[in-house]
Amino acid sequence: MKTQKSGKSFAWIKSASDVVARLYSGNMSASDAEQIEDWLDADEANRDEYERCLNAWDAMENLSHRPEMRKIVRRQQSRSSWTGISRKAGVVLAASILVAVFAGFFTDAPLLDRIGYFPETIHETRIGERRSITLSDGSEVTLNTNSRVRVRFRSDRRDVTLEYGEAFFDIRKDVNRPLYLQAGSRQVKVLGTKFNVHWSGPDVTIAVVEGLVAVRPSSQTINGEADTSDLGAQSDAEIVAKSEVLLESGSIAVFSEELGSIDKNYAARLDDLQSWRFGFIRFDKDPLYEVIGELNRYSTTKISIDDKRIMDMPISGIFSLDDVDKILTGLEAVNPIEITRHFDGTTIVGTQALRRE
Amino acid sequence: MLAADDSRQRHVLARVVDEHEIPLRRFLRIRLANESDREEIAQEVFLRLCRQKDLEDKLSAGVESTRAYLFTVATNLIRDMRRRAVVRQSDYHEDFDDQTFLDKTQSIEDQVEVSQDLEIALRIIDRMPRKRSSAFIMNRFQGMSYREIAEKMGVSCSMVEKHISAALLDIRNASNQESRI
Repeated sequence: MKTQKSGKSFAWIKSASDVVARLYSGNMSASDAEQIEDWLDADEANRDEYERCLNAWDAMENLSHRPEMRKIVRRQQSRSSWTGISRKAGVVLAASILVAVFAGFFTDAPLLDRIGYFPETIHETRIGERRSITLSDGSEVTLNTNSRVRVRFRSDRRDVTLEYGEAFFDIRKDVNRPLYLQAGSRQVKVLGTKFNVHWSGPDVTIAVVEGLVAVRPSSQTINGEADTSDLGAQSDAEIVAKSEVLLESGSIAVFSEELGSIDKNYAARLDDLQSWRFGFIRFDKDPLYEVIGELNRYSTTKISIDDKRIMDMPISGIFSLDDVDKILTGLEAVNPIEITRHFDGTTIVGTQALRRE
Repeated sequence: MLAADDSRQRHVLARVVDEHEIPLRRFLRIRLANESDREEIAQEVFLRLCRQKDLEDKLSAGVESTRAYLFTVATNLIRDMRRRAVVRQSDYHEDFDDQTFLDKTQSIEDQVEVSQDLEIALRIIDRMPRKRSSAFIMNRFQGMSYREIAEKMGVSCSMVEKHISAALLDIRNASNQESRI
């Protein structure tokens, strides 16, 4: 039993029926509600009686169809000076019975969307920024540099759109409310899992760290079947791009509009793909042009290579993402390249000038 | 699916949500202990509204009636939810046919208890002081809001509330006495 909190009075509640009558008055204020909660918490017997009152109240619905009840109502009306039922009230009652009869599931979410009942939230990062957001269902989204997601949770589904960039999703499991992620040409359906999605140009790269996700072309409707007609004439990559594919943990898949490929059991690369979350980046004999392309994502100034001969130079190392310029300086120290920083903000990677030997 | 005058309907809906969402949520907080149940019911209530044709006509009776209507819909949904929960629980048991379905949806004792309660309620309502029973009947069986009843009876809303509470208390006291016999 809980003692009454100071300063809160529920003197007006003489019995549980007072609570129910106030509850259905349509005029319950916030402080009424607080007082009611205090009253319910004050004694278990209060709550018991309240539940019984509610049951009796709700059971009245069953009475209205009984002939004896109709008789009572008729008698009331005939002897009463307030004759006749309000027509509006009649309509309302009829409507409510209709509603009760056609109990079904949600079909009209779009309209509620448009009136903003399921509000959309937008999260984004600037170039070089990295941020984690906890969503209302407890899921966590980490945005990499220059990325943006739109999030809308409804009663029967969760929708997330990766508008651009890269994000790591740690999705809380909810079997009744699957999460649909839209990223470029792909739609990903998950129940609860951890995965990384990177959308750049036509390519969507999905790496599954934990659990299982289903990926399909986003042009298809959510409930529609994948178009699997005439698959015989197509290459494997085309088939993967056009069908729904399941990705298990450890898989990395790359999709363009028309082609798709899946690598399974690619655990080592998986670590690299999500190392950005911890603020570092690792290269393992990756060609210089790819390294520079990657660094450009994190840099507000444009870095370019001006010598074709060094494009494929293999680069290795682990670098902190916090300062791209420092990475370039580091690369310059151990590789035969020269970094030139221009006043207009551009940075050129060129072949190292003649060494003084 | 939507009425022809879509933007009009949207406007009406937005107003309803605006006016009634907080009272509805407050109502649900007292009625339902489980937070996710409350959320489900709240959303379903508004979804039901979307599906109503002639929404505007139905809501023309005024704020009070609309609120009474929303609470009625919510109450019906809560009851349906409870029923579904009972059925779901029974799903986990052995074989499933119509008879076990009925048995498990409502145990014999429950059925007897409910019908006894209803008998009592019928008798009690008939014997109540006139204003008390009238207010209760108008609200519970004719779907009228407290304000509409107040206007009809020429009393204040808080008086109507008192009548309704007293009626419910009569019914509860009567069934408590009977169950003690």
